[in-house]
Amino acid sequence: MFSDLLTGLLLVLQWPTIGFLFLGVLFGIFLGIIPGLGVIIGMVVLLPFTFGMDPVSAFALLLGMYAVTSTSDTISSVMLGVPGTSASQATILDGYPLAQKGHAARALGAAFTTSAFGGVFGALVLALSLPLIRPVIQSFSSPEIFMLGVLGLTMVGSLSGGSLSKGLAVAALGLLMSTVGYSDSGAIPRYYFGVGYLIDGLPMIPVVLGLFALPELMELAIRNRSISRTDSAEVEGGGILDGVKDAARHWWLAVRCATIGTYIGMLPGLGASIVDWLAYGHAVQSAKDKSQFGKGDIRGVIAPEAANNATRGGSLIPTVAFGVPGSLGAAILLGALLIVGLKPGPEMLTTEITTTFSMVWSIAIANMLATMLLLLTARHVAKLAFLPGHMIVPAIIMFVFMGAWLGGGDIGDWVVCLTMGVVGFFMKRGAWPRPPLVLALVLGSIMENAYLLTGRVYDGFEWLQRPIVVVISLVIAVTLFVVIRGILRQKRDGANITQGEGVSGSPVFSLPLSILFLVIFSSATVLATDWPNSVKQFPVLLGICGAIFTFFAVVNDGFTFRKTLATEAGFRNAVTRASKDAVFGKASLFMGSLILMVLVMLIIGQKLALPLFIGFYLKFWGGYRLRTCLIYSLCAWAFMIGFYDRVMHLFWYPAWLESQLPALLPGWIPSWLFV
Amino acid sequence: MVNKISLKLRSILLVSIAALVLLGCSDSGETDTAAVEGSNQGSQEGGADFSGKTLTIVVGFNPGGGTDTSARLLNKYLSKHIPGNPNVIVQNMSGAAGIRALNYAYEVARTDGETVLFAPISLLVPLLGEPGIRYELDKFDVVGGLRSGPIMQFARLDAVAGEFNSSEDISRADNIVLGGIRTSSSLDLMPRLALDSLGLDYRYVTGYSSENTVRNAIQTSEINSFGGTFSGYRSAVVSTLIEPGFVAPLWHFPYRNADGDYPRASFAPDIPTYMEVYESIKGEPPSGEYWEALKLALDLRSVADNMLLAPPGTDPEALAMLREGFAKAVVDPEMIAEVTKVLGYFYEVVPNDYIQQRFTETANVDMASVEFIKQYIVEE
Repeated sequence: MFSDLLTGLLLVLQWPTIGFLFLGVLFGIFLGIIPGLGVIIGMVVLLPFTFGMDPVSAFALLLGMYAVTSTSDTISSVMLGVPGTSASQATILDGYPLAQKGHAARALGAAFTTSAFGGVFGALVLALSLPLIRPVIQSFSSPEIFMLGVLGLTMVGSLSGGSLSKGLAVAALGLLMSTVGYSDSGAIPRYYFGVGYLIDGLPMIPVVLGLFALPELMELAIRNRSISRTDSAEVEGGGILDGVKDAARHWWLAVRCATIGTYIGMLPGLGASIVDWLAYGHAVQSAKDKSQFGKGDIRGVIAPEAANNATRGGSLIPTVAFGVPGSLGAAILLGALLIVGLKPGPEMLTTEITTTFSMVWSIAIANMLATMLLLLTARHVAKLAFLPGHMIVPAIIMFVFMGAWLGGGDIGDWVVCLTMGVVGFFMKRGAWPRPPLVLALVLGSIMENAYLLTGRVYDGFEWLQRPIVVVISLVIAVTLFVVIRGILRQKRDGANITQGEGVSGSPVFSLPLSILFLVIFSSATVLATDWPNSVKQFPVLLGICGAIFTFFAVVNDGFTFRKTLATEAGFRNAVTRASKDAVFGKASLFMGSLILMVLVMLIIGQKLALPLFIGFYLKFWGGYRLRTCLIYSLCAWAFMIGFYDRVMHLFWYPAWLESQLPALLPGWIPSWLFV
Repeated sequence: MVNKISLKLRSILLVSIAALVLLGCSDSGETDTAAVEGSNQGSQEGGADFSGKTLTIVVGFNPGGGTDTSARLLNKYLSKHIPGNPNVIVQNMSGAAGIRALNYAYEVARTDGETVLFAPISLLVPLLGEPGIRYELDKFDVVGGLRSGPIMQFARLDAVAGEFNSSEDISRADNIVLGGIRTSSSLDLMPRLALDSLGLDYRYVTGYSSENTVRNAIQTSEINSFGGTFSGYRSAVVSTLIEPGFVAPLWHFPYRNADGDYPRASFAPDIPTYMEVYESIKGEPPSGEYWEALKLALDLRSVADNMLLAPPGTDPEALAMLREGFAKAVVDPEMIAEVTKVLGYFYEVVPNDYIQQRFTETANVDMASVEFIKQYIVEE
């Protein structure tokens, strides 16, 4: 065993393997930083290179990338409040407030340190607990997977906002949104209203980017303030080293969260999607002083970051040893295994054990490499938080729109992104937490499948007596109990509930949303009545639960609204005040200009429309000099051609200009430069 | 501040331009060498040959899956054998179980021969009238077709009380739980029809969304039988389920040959066909309405499992070169060696005119059986 472990290490340290690992790490860092890119995109780009490579080098390249996207994605979570990948959602809750206080460097320092620790810990613990893995995985069947999903959603619903009813209602809405289109097993598409695009369901990435990125960008563009609300000179104790020290001080929390990450992450189906929330929930529940969570508590960064890197190791062994990938990224890794001529199976733990250990080492070394690189550069990255908003907005707009496009390559992706931008704006202003919606959308089809399969495999409610189901139910009950007790105490003490996104909501924005959601839940239930049983079960269940949760939210909003009316002296005053607070006019203008950009794109194509938008934005909204605008737009254009076109080979929108341009250009200029 | 930034921006810009120029050079570099080596019969007509061009293979599924892997195994050898050695890339356009990419190739893709589709083609799917299908198979131009092996059915050894010695023992099983992916998949349809035709009682649990998940379910004993692809059998079922000793193959669903018979597929000479097992259990060849439906499904699947198709109306000269390249690639010993290393076996090459002929013949199928299958799928 020990000599195998050592041989595995030596295999990775050989040249050129270690070089491939380094390349993978660099690419992974890049993918994590840019919103909308991530592991899947990385696999798409790297997979073709692995044909014909030797297994150890191929996996060094892939795993180098795979292991570190969840380290560098912290940057956009902390700096922009936008999840870099869906694995880093929980980091936003405390990471973004820290950046706003000017403590971005500290948050990044702590996050990178614990990421490295989590990654190495996960890989090594896994290597040592190989015999445990099969029993753990085999005890998780459909009922357990379903309950685990419920647990994940309860955690997000209760932790990410001030209001439990709103959190759970949003979770139900996300699950309901995941039922759009065909279910995995059913023969009838749902809620697609004759729109072909929706038959395949709502895509994940455009929703996340619209929901989180557009409202934050609006804010930056409208107020043109930097991400940090305080000047760099005034910040004390916010350096990288402070973050590293924080991580060291909370080492025991990191150990516990990395353990959660390793073992939950190996569970097939949804383990990897919920670990950051389970870890965050654990951090909140085990903390004595909970008052700072959601406002910039460093523990809220440490917990999810330790956990989400640990899962990468956790999901590797089930993939290679049992052919059971825990996530889509791991499923692609399974494909790569075959490409390099290996087969998943117990031999990976016996005759091929050195190759398996070389993979474990690749993950561990990649984590350390990435952290060193990121810690060295974090000082500069953190300075972005003090840049004027106008310099940041255009680049992120490009990443957001191209990221939304990447998944499906359909104009519907942009429509979804813009629509969710509007919804996200209202949710943010109305103190509706957004993270539950995203997690629910990720888990939706897995949970629906698990729910239906449970009904097909087990008679009646006998599945509720399965031991792990009982344990998970107890954890859910305890979570809800702790949260409700907390809310009641705060009410009794008269303190404001100021956790997470529930900080500065106005009922003027919240109430219309509550009513809209109520309408959505009830009409979804009504629309589903005629469908076959297996197709309607899940949506009807959600419609009813969602309507109940929303009802509580409406009542609550109604009370607050009445209070607001009383203090503001009249309905009109209240509305005017709220929309002024939200800079509603400018926000509409911003959305309008994005819509205009999309319309122009239909004619001239993406490669020209986005750089043009960037130029115009900087000139007319930002007031920069022509030269700056030109250079910025050119850079954006070069990135689109160089990366999205030449490297990603993506399908561009077939704009009108595409059919015209080749005839107009002289032969020596390739038309792919422009359309 | 602004000045500092623009300075930085300028250096970034310089680097990006340099990178672009490099990319551009590598492209035109290929063009130059190809032009020197090959014929120079002008590239403006879009015919002549593929030198300096990019051939895009559209794949309707995610990267890393079976179809994607097969396409990527092919692309290097297409580049080698198509006249003019084009740069060949794979683009993934997943959606609607492959239907989206088929629609794209049918309606949108250019017909200059520079876009082709690599896809598993079902002749049954269009007949069932699934919503969203806008293509007509017989309009496509076939570049080449490959068989990648028959669908197999497996069972857990403990599905049968006592010893499980041969496939016939499945008739003693009293608690079969058949796992599936979705009702309309062949991986669900064929095993269901097979069990129903045998008159065996079973519980049908579908919705596992992928072969990976089905394999997990049989490991946890949530199900004890399932249908899988041959490539899945060779790449994962053998090593994760059969060799560890808890699953056995029951039978395979063979291809129909030119005489209308169903001999054992050359892919799986050691595994009985469904019909063999049926006969040895029942003492007579299969019959009845379930069997008629299964026979139709088998028959419609006996064309090619994966095809390289060109959009309708593709430029004939380009098409001829694509076909030439494909035909040479699939007999290239290097390709055979690489595919065998990855999949564990090599495909069977299917002649193009046979495929095109089968496309046209689909119009004459027995619609009564099609209707039967339609109902059967909805019922679960």
